[in-house]
Amino acid sequence: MMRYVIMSVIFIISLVLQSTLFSHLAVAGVKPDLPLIIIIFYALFNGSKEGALVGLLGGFLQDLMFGQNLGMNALAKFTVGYLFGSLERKIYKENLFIPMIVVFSGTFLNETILYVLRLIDGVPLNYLTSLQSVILSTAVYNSCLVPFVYGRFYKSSQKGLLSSDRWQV
Amino acid sequence: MFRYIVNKYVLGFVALVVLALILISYTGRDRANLTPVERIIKNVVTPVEQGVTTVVEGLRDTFGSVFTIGQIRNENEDLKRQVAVLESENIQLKEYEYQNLRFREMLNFKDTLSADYDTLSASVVARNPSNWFKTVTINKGESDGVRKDMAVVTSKGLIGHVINVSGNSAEVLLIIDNSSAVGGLVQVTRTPGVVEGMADNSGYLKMNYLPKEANVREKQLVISSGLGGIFPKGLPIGRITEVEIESNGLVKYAIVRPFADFNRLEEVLVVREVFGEDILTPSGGGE
Repeated sequence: MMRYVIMSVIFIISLVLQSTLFSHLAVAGVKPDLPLIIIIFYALFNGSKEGALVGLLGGFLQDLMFGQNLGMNALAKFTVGYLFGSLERKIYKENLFIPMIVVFSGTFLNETILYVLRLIDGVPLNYLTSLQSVILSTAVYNSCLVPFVYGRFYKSSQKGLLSSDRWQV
Repeated sequence: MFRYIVNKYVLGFVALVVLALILISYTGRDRANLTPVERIIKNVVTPVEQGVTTVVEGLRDTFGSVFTIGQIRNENEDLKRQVAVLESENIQLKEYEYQNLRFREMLNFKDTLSADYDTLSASVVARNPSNWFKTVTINKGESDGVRKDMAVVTSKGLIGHVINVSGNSAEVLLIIDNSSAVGGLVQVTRTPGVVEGMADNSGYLKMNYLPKEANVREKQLVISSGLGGIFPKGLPIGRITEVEIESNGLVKYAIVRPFADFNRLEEVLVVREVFGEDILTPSGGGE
């Protein structure tokens, strides 16, 4: 239970940072998606059920805070959490390149889902332009941030505040 | 095999996806009000965001000014020179304004172009975290008289309009968002068009539906036309940087560089009311 409280606090902090500080860190008009990185990591360490849950709740919170169409981020992050959580036991987590690749593909999927939802919502978007200017660039930017965040998350998930053993006494 | 594919997790997944899609389609930008949950969350989060933004901007200004002091000095020289030029221009323009007023009185002419606006200043406290939505949160809401669909400007020009309001905050859809559309007018030629955000994240705008034969060129100024009802007429939007013929060969479009700097939005003005007719015709127009 405590783990979920900590996770929620981390997520809310990341959302606030994302909407304030990170908007000043935009490169080529694109800013990284810290909340998404956190969801992908959480899913990687805790499996698809928990990944999906955290993605759904986190994405929905983001929708409530900033969204027009409630559910857009919830749906995208839920799908990413679910699918990438299923990699929990299948990948080797000690090598830094693996989470970088995972975050790249997770972001790619997340942004593609958002692209499709925006398109369905009636916003005229060209796929190639969007791929170039948003989808790929966000994925690259996010995976470049992995080395700064992953170490902490890894330690914390093994035996720190986010470890499932720590709170089971 | 079928049972394997349709296990309860997959079913749950599909059910949630469908649920989310329904929710998304019912909560578009056209809805009149925010849900109570959203209002509560926004009321709690906005002060926090405001605090963080103040700190971040303070840090950026401090560090930024240390690194750019040489640049600031040059800029200062340039600005002084510009002020001198502008001052003399201004005097001349004042002369024209008075002349214009006299002519208008003679013609009993009414126009909203030089309308006066009742504005309310607000600070930008947060930006939408997603790269797909160009919206900002401002720290004024219903309690300050902000309502949905009010136009938002900076001293440089139009930046967007309010799309939803809670007690003490409001969300502004920027004109660079690709779902935004503003009725625009090329100032010199009076050619109307629709100014939309570009999909490529460049921060530029695209002015669509210009007649092929229209005399629209680079460096011309684009202002809001007032058509569509949301944006008052005459707000500066940007300057044309490029004019191209659309691939269908029937109409032209122009790329417009907005006046407002969307990367550094700090203080904005919400246009609460437009006093149209009575400003330029103090003598009462038609009497």
